[in-house]
Amino acid sequence: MIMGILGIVTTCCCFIGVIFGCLGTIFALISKKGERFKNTALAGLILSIIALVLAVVVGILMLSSGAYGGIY
Amino acid sequence: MKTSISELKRRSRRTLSGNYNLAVGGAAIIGAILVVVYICLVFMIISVVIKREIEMGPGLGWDITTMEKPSFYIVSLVVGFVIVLFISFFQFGLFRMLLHMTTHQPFSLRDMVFAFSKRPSRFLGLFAICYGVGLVLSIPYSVLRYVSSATGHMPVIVVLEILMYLLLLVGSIVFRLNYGLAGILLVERPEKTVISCFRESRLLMKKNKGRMFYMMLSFIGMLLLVMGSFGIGMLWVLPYITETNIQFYLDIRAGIVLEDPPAREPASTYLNGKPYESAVDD
Repeated sequence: MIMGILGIVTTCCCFIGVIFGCLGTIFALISKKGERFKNTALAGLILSIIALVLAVVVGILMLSSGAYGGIY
Repeated sequence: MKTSISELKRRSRRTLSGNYNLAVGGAAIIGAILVVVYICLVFMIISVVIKREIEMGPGLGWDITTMEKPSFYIVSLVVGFVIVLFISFFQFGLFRMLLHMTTHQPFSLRDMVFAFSKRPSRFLGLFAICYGVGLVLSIPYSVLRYVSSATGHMPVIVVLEILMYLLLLVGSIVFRLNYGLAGILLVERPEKTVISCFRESRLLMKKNKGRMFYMMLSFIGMLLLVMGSFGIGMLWVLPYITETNIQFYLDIRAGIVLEDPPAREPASTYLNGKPYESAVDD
């Protein structure tokens, strides 16, 4: 869950958001011991996926607007 | 009845739960070696390029077409062999630690150097066979890749190159599906010979190749997430994948134990109706 929150907070720093989002998703998936996710794990999974999607969208927007050196 | 892959994964998560610090420590050792190797390689490449820039002039240091190719390939082959050998030995150690974790035997981070201390020649033999098979499988692809670059990427050669790459991929998967358990078998019983480990692995994998293939495919999503985390996630995913492999092996062994044991003999010694050792030797 912490990774998911960090991922959303760092969405604007494209790559860092992706790293936290991916790590949060991995942690949520490997913490599942029974048939269903624990509440915190489920919250972490959802937050991490949101962070990943946001980071990718922000990254694409930044690339298309030429924020990375105006190459695009 | 065979256990489903999702159940095996659940078991591995339960086993690792509470022991992740050690498992991640083991994976961190392998990761640290990889990082050190990459840093050394980067410094080596930079120093070679700077030297070539000084000798040949600016802008020519990066031109690999002017390098002495045979020596370049031999050096890269030897360096690659040593690096992969080192990492494989630590992976055997990780297998040992997780196997003991699963079977409720004492385990510690010292298990990571198990392959260096207990019959290292056997582990070296197993690794050399696997590496040799990989090398032989990659020969057609490597030759065509060289020819392709020499002939300016002719379309026919490029198509052949892709076909040979697919051949390499299929060959590697078939080898893994037949002999993928040889490493765990040797780690479990280091007194066994390498050839008998391969033979036993082939026997155990009979009628289980589909499950193994499905298990391998089921980790693709997680490996993509590892790539997204720039490799950091591998610290947690590597023990998870290794532990699931061990659960898979133990599940097959348990299936053999339950399979039609004759009345007089102990159940654990039979495979396909034959005494286990003789079935393995056949």
